Amino acid sequence: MKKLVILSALFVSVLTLAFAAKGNSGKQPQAKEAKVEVYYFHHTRRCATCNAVENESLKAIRLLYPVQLKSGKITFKSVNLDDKGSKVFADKCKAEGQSLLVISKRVRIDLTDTGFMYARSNPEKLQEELKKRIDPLL
Amino acid sequence: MDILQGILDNSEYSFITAIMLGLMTAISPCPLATNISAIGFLSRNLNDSKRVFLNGLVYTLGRAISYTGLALIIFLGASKMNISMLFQGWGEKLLGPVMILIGLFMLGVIKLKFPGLNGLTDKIGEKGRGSYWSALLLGMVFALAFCPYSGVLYFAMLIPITVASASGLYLPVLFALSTGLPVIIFAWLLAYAVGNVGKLYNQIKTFELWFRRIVSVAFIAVGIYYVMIFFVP
Repeated sequence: MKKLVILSALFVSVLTLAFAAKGNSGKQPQAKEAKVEVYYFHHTRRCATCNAVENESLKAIRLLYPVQLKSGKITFKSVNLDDKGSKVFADKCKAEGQSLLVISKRVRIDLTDTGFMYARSNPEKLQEELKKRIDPLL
Repeated sequence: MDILQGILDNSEYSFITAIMLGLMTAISPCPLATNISAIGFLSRNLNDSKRVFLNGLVYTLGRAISYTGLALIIFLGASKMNISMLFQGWGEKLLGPVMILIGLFMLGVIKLKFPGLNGLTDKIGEKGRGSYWSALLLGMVFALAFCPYSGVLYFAMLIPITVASASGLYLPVLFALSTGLPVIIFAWLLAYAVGNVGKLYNQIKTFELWFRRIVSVAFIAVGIYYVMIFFVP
């Protein structure tokens, strides 16, 4: 009898574990789909700060999310607003001229002011801000 | 610049933010060419420092009109996206031809007589003392010529705090004042210094004439520079 109880307990726990694992694996593809797009919009003529915003945010993302960047979960795109093909992206992101934007399915985060304030004087702060905003989206 | 940024970071009051953004616009290397041209233009009346100062104030008023006008248009519901794209994309491109034209007017190469605009050439040209209208127009035009950095300071930082409520519409005036202040100070100093050298040699009229010619040539040169960076591949 004792053996039977132990056996059935084991059976139940194995079943529970199996279902739990299945539940987890069910969530996995969903997480993979969650994609974060970082856009940097600019014009052909760019100032030193404008270049720094692009370089520093790309550097930060490469440093913070190397795996996600490789798997395509996070993308970084620099778009020249003077190019003809840029309109599609500008409309999609509702870009208002030069801007640094984080776009996910649910949200549009405008980091233009943070980018321009800190890209040259304090890039760590820009990196920190990017992490703070992107982490919850992943 | 770092000091200004520090103040901006810790500022809780939007009026301080507006003033800091204005100063950052004024001293950033980006609109330097237009600022230097403005300094030259405003200090043309070498022997009359009061006039130079008043010219500077009127020039700043011109800037305030443009900045507040744009903010008002956005506040009243125009798409910020369209306005911002238009001025950030085109403001600086049109600057080159406009500056070459102003330079040619000042040199007296071009003479235009429009009905109602009698003697425009005389007003901004060599002979005239320069009316306040020319300083006002110059302020308005230069304010609209957003360079990449000043465009972001204005559209991405000043406009959001300005259009948040009707009570914020005074902020572009403060912004304009602080973008104009360094120009006023330098114009006044330049007029004072060159004027005194002129007086020393008892040749103030000749000095003034040549100073105007130099300023005109500077306008044309800066204009050509802007045309080159945008239109010459």
